Amino acid sequence: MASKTKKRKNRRPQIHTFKSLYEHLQWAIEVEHFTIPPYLCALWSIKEGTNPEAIEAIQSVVMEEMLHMTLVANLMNAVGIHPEIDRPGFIPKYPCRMPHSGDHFKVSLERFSKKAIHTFMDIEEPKKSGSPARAHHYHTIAQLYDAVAEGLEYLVCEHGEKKVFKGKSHCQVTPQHYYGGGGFVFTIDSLEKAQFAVREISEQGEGKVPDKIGTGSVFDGDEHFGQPPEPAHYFRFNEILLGQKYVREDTPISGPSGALFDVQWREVHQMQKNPKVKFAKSIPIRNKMNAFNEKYTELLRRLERAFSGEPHLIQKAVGQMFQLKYQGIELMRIPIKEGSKTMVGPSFEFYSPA
Amino acid sequence: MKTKDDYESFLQLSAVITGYQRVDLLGTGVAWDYFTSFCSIVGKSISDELWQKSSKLLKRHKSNEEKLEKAIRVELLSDNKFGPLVRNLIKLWYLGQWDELPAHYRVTYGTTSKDVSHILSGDSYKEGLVWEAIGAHPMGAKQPGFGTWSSPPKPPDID
Repeated sequence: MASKTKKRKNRRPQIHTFKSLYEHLQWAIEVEHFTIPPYLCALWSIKEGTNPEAIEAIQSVVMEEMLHMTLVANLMNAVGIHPEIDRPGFIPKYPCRMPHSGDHFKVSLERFSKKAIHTFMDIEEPKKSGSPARAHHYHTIAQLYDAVAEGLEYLVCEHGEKKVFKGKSHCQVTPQHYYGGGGFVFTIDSLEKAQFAVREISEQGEGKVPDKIGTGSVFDGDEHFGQPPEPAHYFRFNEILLGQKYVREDTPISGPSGALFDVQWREVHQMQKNPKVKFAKSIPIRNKMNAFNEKYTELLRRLERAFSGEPHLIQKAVGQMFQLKYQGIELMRIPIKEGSKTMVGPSFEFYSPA
Repeated sequence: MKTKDDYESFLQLSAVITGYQRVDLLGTGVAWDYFTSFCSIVGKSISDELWQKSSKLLKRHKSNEEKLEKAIRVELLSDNKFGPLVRNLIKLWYLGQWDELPAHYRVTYGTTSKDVSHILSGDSYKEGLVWEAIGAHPMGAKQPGFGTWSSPPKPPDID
């Protein structure tokens, strides 16, 4: 009897309760969001008219991160919960580690540089072949998603699909609400679709899992998203670092062998690292930073509503995202004080009116 | 050092005549380009005079915004020499374009061969204050996002 119990325990994945599943899905959406402000700071710091390949690469990654956020939100709604986005704790206090990860590297809000791209590659690092799913202290984002996938499978086995996927279908964000940003969203209402979503998120980030270390594909599975396959995020960042594109035949070991391009690392607004409103050197600058944060917080508020039963609000959020971009770029051009060559930059802080 | 002071006078004068804050003007990313272009189009001697005059007014009415605005109206905008220049500067900030100075001004005070009507640059078109002021965006640039045209324009609040 004792050995039977032990055997069952061994088979139990790390996520084996509904509570734990819900908690880890919230973590997943936090992780997806976590990457966006650092990527945007690097992207917006690039001077207009320069570095088209780097801009294209980072922008496409950001778009896919937004798609991932939406897919995780759909997954949460599929299992009957809503993401919590509109709260101070949702926004990381940069510099910081990735939420709930086992890694020690810190991620900053900083301008486009080789160092920043190295950090982005740390974030998107592919998991090694055979590395286990990890619900806690994961080293790669794929390990977290593997743990979520295992948990879903286990709970469906234990309780049946209907009891796990009990969410209301009207809460799902569909292609009607979300247009071509990084690919297509789809409704999640079954284990099969949930696992498909989880797999696609991992592949866009890290590439297809290799059979042997270094022999996997650098390309994602974007044909499933109605888009031509592109190098996964990790490899898109590597292209910038090396100034060379990957082609389909390339592997992680071979490196890129496609077209060469110039990266003008100096053509960048000298944004200060990890700006904070409280350190603003003047009231007009503080007001400008607050205006950005207010817009950002409004956007999160709207997204929470969109992901909690009002998916049509996504379309309204699109305009806010563009406004946020222009406000962010404005902050890249404002010196921290008169005569300084260091620029303010967006601080991505939760805004609550005084 | 003098250039730095002149640039600061240019920024502060620009803030008063456009109604935008200094920080907003810096945020356009074209302030320095406007400053250098302005000086080069109207000529060094007359632009130096304008910055000196502006600097005096800005210092004199440092703590009284109302008096400063009035002084700029009377001593710059209504002045035969400085008026056309300052009005051109307003147009430059709002529309990103330089209009050839009036004939009477050209005859009386002279100008340079660069004083011809033109759009200063692609950026000056995009960063014109007019777009924000009317709650719109420059056609063909700074796209506001799919579907935003279903909402009415939102001009900024005016105090």
